[in-house]
Amino acid sequence: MKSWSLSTRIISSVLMVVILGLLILSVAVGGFTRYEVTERLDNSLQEVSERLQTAVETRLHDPGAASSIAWLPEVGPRTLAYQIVDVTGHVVLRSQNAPQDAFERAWRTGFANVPHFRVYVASPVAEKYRVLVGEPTFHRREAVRRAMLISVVPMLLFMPVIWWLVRLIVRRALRPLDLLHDEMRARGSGNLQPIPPLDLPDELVSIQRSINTLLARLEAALSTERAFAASAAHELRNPLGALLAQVQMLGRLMPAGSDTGRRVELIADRTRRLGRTVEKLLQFSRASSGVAFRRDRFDLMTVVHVLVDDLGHNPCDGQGIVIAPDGIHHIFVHGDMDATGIMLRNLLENALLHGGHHMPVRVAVLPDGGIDITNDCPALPPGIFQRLTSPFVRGGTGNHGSGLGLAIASNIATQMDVTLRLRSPLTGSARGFGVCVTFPNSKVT
Amino acid sequence: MRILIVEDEYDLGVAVQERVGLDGHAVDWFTTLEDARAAMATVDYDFMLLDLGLPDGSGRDLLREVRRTSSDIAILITTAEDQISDRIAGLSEGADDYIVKPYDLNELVARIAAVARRYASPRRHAHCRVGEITIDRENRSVSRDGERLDLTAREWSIMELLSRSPGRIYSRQQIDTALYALDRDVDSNTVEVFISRLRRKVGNTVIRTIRGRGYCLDARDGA
Repeated sequence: MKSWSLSTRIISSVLMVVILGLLILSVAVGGFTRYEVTERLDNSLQEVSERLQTAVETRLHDPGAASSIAWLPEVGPRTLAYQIVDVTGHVVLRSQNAPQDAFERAWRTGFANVPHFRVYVASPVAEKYRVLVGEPTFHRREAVRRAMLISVVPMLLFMPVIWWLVRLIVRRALRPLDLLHDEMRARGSGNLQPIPPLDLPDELVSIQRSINTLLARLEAALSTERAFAASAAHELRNPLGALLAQVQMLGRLMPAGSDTGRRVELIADRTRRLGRTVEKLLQFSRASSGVAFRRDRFDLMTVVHVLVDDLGHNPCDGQGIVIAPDGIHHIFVHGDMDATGIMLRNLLENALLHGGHHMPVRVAVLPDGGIDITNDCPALPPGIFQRLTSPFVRGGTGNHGSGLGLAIASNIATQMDVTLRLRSPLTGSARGFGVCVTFPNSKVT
Repeated sequence: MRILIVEDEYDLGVAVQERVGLDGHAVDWFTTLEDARAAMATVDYDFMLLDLGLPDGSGRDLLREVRRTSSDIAILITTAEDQISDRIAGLSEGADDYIVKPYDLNELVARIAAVARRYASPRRHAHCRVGEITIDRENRSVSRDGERLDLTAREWSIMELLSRSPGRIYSRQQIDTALYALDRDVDSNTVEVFISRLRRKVGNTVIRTIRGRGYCLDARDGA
């Protein structure tokens, strides 16, 4: 659905109303002007005709005289024409611009329209002569047209000016709203600073206050969440680290192969597993609470290299990771670097956990900036594959992880608009599992 | 190597000091930045295990201070801060490696060894031969004619120190520093005792005594 800006809506609505009003007004003014002009001209025509009738009654006394023309100087196309007709219909006298034959044969008093003239037949004072005065239709039409143009055209010409003025006024009136809009749009991508004073109208000041209150609450909530995650990590990791270290040192004191030694090793193993579970639960908690909030620009390749280097060190992860950068040095993306780290670490740990012992996990950098992580394993049954990104769903390799890795990765990917494509088996093989991570608008160099 | 641990978690610090010490390193452990700075002012450490969250400040401050000097001490951050930005920041500020708690002590000593190898001078060969004796610094072993000799951690530490630069004379004080942490009482002739034991294992001609100055590997017969 097409979106419209508020200013466009107001401008178009106001202009539609104004233009429609002007059009209706123009039509009304035109019609009224036409009526008035016609009436005035008709009155003049009638007046001239009736005066001429009186004059004819007193001056002409010779019916049947030859037709004569009254020559007048400076007769033009707009000049009134007249005929004096006797009872037989013979034109006794006419103006030089009147036709030879009578305008009208019917002697009905009043106005009549004949070709090229609007004629008024005056009521006779006596039955001997009738006076017919005709006004050229051309002159009348021109008068009406000019009157209408004078009244309507200024309105039509003023429409662009009205459009420009409405646009100017609406935009100026909405400028504070635009400022507020720009400030609000700048918030969210790691910027939770309150909106500064913007000289807003009263209606928007309350909105600004509400937004600032919400931003303050959000900042406080996120800070609390970050502080909690950091404190929880510190408070849990340090004692776990101490416990694991002490147990390992205790194990060195035990005779090799002794029952006590095996039990100490079991405690060490469970402590390691507890450490991983705590880590996953903390990550899952952070992912569920919207950890991927920031939209900072960073180099994805740096994150990949640091993670591959870190996980490649760990002898517990076994088979190692092979990275194929394909000549790509940097992939600049927008997102939350820490959340990206959590997402990729989970994907890599998942691949290491479930991958075959003789096949390294392969991290391929694609030309479009995607990161493709593949590992060897039996192909996943469709039933499990469909639910892999749900919490506590485990693959079918028999290596039991926390069941949270892909759920965490999927959750973070959704928050950052990152595409996560899972596939099993791999293309051209009956085995394997792959995840392709693609950031939107990544820039590859 | 002489290793400094800066770690405020007591039970962890104890275990790490003990485990790293078992590999023959002289390990000093402090719980505050202030104590660590004081120790660094008096002892020339080769390696530092640095926690970031310390009672009197952030380990990053000490990291930056050290990297501003010309000291070539290797630094491995050991911390509970697990975010990728923390890791990248730590490495960018000059740490050589970064390990997150809880960590396996075996992984820790493996990483210490890996970082130490990177720090080894290009002139320092992984293998050093003195007469019939071959010193494999990478695998921490000494062999004669292919037969591996059984050295204790302390004996290896002396061989490792002397093999860093065959022919160079190391004073008794330098050997003491490499062998013992600050909290250990060192007997006045402890070094002589270990040198004597080493000579019994590797042969009398491998380690020369330079009277009044110290000891060195006999570089006249080696590579």
